[in-house]
Amino acid sequence: MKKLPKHVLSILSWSIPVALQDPIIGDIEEGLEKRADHSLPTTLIWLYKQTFSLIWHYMLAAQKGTIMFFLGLLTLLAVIAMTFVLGGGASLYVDIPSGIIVFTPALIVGFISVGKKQFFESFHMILDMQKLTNTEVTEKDVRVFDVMSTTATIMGWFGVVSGIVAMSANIKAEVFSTVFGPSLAVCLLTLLYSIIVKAVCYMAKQHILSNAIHCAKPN
Amino acid sequence: MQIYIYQNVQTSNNLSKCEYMNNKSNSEEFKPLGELEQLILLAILQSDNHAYGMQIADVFLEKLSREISLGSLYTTLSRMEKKGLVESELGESSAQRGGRAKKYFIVSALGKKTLKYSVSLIQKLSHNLSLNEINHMGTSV
Repeated sequence: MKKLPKHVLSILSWSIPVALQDPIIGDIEEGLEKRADHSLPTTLIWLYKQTFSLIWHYMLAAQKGTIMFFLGLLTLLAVIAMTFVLGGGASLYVDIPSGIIVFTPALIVGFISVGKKQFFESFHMILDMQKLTNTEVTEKDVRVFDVMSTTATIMGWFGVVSGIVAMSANIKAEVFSTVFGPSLAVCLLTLLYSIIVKAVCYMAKQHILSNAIHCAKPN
Repeated sequence: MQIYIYQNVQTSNNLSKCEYMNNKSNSEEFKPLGELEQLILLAILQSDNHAYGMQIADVFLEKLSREISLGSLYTTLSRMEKKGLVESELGESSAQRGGRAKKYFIVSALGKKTLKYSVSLIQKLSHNLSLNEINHMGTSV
């Protein structure tokens, strides 16, 4: 093996601070070149040992903001899951049609409104703190989250209102007590999903903005 | 009442702590180097006081038969750079390194003095001790 595999290069570029990327990755390339006559397993062991060591030493310094964002997201999702379980079981809160009504338009409208390049750029900023700290963050970088959150909210209310209209049109006095409760529960799920999308988009937007403000501060 | 007497103990390298303290620009408390810091400084000096990461790792492998990870090497070098013990400069790139530049490290004057003092401490404590006899010393509890 003479060349650094692409996946290792991506991991190293993500986890090592920009200022040290050239010297360290160059050293690894040189190390691989020197081990050209070694067996493949020995070289791979050396390469992965160095990679894990570099991730261990530098990831927190280079990607602290991203790690904190995902920890926050994990906490939010854990609290939501706990609420679902305590509220009568997770299956009560899972409804695929309601999910399609909320998530699909949110993603499509977000994608169309900012364009393919900006859409992926904005998500890349969340995943790569170094990208965020080395780029000038503008309003268009967070616009996708505003659009997605607003679209999800509109679709959430749309699901509730259309569900109530459908229920009201088909309501019969003899089955009212048994049908009304479960139907209303399902039609309210779109609103619940929209609130979750709004919360996640709010977190993403604040993560980008707060890190941009932090980076703009003089040392 | 206790009376403390400070002795100006001469080390084998003829550098006393008092001399060292006087040489420092401010009289802050001196902190001896850790084992890895000492070894890295010595490895840089072994390479004519101008070495980059992989070169230092090679010195470790050749002279100590010890494989050092680039993660611990560079974090220790960065820490020592912050303390002013080493200085760094970007060097040339080569095709062997995928066109990436080297980062050369040089032991600073402060680094040399600190290393000298740190090594002298070990020499002082190991003075009159035969390393061959260490295994047979003080085995009773």
